[in-house]
Amino acid sequence: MKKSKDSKKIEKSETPDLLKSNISRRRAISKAGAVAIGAVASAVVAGSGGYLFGLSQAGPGRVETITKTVTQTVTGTVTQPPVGKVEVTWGIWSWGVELVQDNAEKFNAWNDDVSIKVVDYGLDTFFSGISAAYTAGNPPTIHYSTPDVTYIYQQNGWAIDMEQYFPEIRRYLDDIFPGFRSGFINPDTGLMSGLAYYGGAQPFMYNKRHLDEAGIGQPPRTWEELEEQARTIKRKGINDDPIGIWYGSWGFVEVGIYDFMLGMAEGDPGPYMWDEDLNPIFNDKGSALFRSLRWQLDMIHKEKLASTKGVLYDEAQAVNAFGSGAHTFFWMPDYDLAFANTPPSKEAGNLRMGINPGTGKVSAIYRSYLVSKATADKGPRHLEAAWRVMQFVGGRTRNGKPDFENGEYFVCRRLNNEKGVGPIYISMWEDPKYADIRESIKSWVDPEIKKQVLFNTYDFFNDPRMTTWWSEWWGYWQAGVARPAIHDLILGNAGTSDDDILRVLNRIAEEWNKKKKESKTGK
Amino acid sequence: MQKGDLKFILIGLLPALSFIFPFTFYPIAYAAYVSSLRYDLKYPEEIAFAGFDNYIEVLTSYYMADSTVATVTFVVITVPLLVLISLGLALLLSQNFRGVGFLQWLVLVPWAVPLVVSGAIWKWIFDANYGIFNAFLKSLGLIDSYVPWLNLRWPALLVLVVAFLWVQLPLPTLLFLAGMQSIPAELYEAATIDGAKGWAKFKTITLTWLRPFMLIVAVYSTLMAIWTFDLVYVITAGGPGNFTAVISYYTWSEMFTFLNFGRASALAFLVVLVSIALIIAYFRALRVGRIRLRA
Amino acid sequence: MGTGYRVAIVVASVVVAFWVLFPILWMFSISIQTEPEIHSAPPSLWPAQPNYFNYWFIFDTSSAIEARLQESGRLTFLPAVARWFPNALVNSVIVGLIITGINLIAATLASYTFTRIRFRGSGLLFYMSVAGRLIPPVAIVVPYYIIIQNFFGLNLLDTLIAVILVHAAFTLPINIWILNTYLLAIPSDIEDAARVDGYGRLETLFKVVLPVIKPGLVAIGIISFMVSWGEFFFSFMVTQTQLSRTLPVIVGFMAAQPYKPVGILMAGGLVAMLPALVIIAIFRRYLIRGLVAGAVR
Repeated sequence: MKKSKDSKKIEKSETPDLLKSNISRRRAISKAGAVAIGAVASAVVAGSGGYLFGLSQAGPGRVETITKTVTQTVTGTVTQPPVGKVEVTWGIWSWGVELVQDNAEKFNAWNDDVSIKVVDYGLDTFFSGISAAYTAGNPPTIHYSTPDVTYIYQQNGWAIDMEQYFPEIRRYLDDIFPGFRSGFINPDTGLMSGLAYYGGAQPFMYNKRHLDEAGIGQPPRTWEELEEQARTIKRKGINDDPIGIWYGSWGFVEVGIYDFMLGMAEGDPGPYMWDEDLNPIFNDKGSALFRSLRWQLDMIHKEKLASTKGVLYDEAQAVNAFGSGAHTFFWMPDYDLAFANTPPSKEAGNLRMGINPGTGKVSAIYRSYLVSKATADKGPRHLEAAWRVMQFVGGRTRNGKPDFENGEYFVCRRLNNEKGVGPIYISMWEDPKYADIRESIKSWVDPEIKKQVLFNTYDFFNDPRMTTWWSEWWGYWQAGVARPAIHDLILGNAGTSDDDILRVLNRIAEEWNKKKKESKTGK
Repeated sequence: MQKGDLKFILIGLLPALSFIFPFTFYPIAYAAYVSSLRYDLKYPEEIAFAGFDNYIEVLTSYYMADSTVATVTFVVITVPLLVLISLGLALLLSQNFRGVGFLQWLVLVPWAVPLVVSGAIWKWIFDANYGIFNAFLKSLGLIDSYVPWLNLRWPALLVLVVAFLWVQLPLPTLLFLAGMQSIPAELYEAATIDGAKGWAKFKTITLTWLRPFMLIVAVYSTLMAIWTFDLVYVITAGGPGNFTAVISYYTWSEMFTFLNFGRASALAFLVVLVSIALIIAYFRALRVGRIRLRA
Repeated sequence: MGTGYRVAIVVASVVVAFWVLFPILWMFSISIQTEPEIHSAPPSLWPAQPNYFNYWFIFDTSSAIEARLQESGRLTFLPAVARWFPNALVNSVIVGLIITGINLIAATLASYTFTRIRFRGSGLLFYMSVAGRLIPPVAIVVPYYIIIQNFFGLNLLDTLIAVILVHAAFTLPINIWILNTYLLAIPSDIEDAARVDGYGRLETLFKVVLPVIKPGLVAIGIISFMVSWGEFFFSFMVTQTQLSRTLPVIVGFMAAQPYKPVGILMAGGLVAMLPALVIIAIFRRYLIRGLVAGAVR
């Protein structure tokens, strides 16, 4: 990439040399400033085809490769697959990488016409990495996806609905717990987009040791009971901060918002945040969100049964806090319980998952697999290979080959048994051949409870449905307006009266409406 | 310029400039170019020339006002502290006493710690549940129960200041020390003969001699304070309700979270402009005039 | 030197030592505690029984993971990326030393040229070098990436050479500026005398100037190594596989796990410090020793 020759055409300045008095140094600095700007301006003005060429070539592509880490498969170097072998790239984020690589290796051993190459896009950089790859035209064949991002990719036409090419994928839908199904259907086409990586919830959890010491036999079933139990625990000096209110660390769609709201939404099936036309309905004294915020503020500032500590926890701190007994009652992603409840965690063995007080409903978390359109463009062989791999990583196979009737959820099973990451396929919970699923998690959670929780999930990404501008809002609205506003409210910085809460909610709603008006599609 | 100097200039400058120049123009020009584009990775079809739109959008965005306040506050607090404390430290380290060599080495230790670890340890010290700062205060009876310091606005900012100072002190101290060590001893002797006392000597000789070093330190400290990202990211992630979300935090957000390269570059350029302005201001303020080298 | 002065020195030294050492010692204390111990309130200043698992983990990740697996069943959430730690350590040392060498040579030559020779455009060239450092790294990381990818026809991505090039590009400008400041403060009389005696520029530089500017050289030597040692952002961007990554990047990855293992991170941080500290100690002593002899004032 040649830098523009124009940038060398700097105005000949009579810059005095450095040895002379430094008044000249000052002048020289401003000249240098001018020079720098001049260089920049000339380069911009030159705006040559070279730049544009460079840009389109190495534009986003560079970010893709910047942020990706190509990890070798366990067996060794990544070699070109022999002729006739189709290579499928599996884009992952940095979690459980060893397991992923091992799975890929197993697949490669079982199949000689398709091979998987694992590409790790990092953790924080996953979204930008994959987006860049799509823009540059060389996305992975199949990759992880989160619901918000799935929608963007579908809108951009980057990812395909697998059902369009392989209608038999629909058979898997019934095997997914009802609360999650909407996450796997493309809202615009009604087709199933892909299979599941995993699914779980952010269930209610409690520290049994604390309860035992306080003489409480059963976990609370209503929010009033919860408050009472917390009061007892605090009074007896067992724990100073029994109700752990955590706000989650990756967005507005957070534990502190949804799990309390869902649990308190008696007799209200939803939607809770927006109506069918995506107008806000939460900024109302009667809304479930209002109720839950009111309750939280009371617990923190009036009853002192909770504190503001959790507001800024990141996931690691939350897990560590609950896992070391800093709080009695907590809500966090279920797979985190695996970590908190096994050694060397301090409270290993003392923690339990429970059914959310009140309605029992909790927020759903799920991740899916998407296949890129670029794969479809490469032709049926590649598409077929992608489907094979998708069935391996998210569906039923036997010895690495797809087998819906008699195969087993190979990767899903390993994820559960080795990482505690729960599957959202109902058969894995009920079919006797998957008894090991329930066995392996017994050490940190009661399988019955977990299964119950999975039946109780609510998909707030589809509350009521996805919107085209979700991606914009994910950034600006939720990160910049909603999240800080709610944090300030809970921290007590915005007042704690009912009117204060309403004021904050109105402000958030107003920003939403503003953005909605500005949005291109207005949907 | 003397005979044969041309050859020397080439030998002298070629090694350094051949490393520096390839990485100077293109990046700046490129960043300037991108800042003039509407470039949102989520909507790739819409990349188009947008003139100053990005700049305007950035300047009128929801975060600009608050972030500028946060950044200015941070800079105004840390830069003077950094300059003064490092000057004091250098003064201490330029004295002759047993163990000064060890102390000189010790002062550089924080520099060796990876930035992410420094951030992590300071965050941990002020942790709401297990932080030693809380334990200390409680043991003194100053507080009843642990306080989540990082959830409170000014405490969070102050923790950032402390962490920043801890991490950044080594370099300015080193610079000042090197400067002080080059001050000819005769100057001090001459002054003492003339009857000058400690403070006067310090002021007229040391401070004057160090002025150009002060310039470097001031510029460096300011740039570091404005660019501080890692510490903010690790310790407060923008702080309670965006209170500590300094401008570099948003440059990163624009680029990696919102995936809007156009705006990220525009924001970066605005930071450059401010930096240049500050540098010029420093030059003027420090009135780095000619240093009298002879009596 | 009155006692007041002596007391002040002692007090100041103690304060400074505490300021520096408290976090370091605390890091060490955490690194030898077990997770439950770390997460207890009040935290203990020092563990009753030091546990070196974290250090074992860094240097022999696979067997440490195995051991943990045996112990606690099938679930392990330790950052396996730590297996690249020793490799990254070596990479960082190599890059650091080379950068120091490059700086000592190139920056000294350039600085001498700028300050002792008057020529048209010297100021310009100098300011242009520094200009590149005025822009926040995040905005120029992409062009850097492209340049490395197309470096005069070679794709240097993911090599240590790329890291070296980038680090050199960034440490040189400020080091040149520092040396300039240093050199400008030193009168050129002796050098002029030497020139008259028939010494060439290069000779003058080596025989006359170098001994005098030793503190400046120490400073830029240390700065070069340390800046390179701690640099994360660009090192991350121009490398792709863990094999060629430097220490800050690997430590960064260890910290980026959802379950931040505080103990391991501290252990990693401490070990990551050691080579740098050794280099500083050697450098400082080695060059300062010559200072007294070379003082030509």
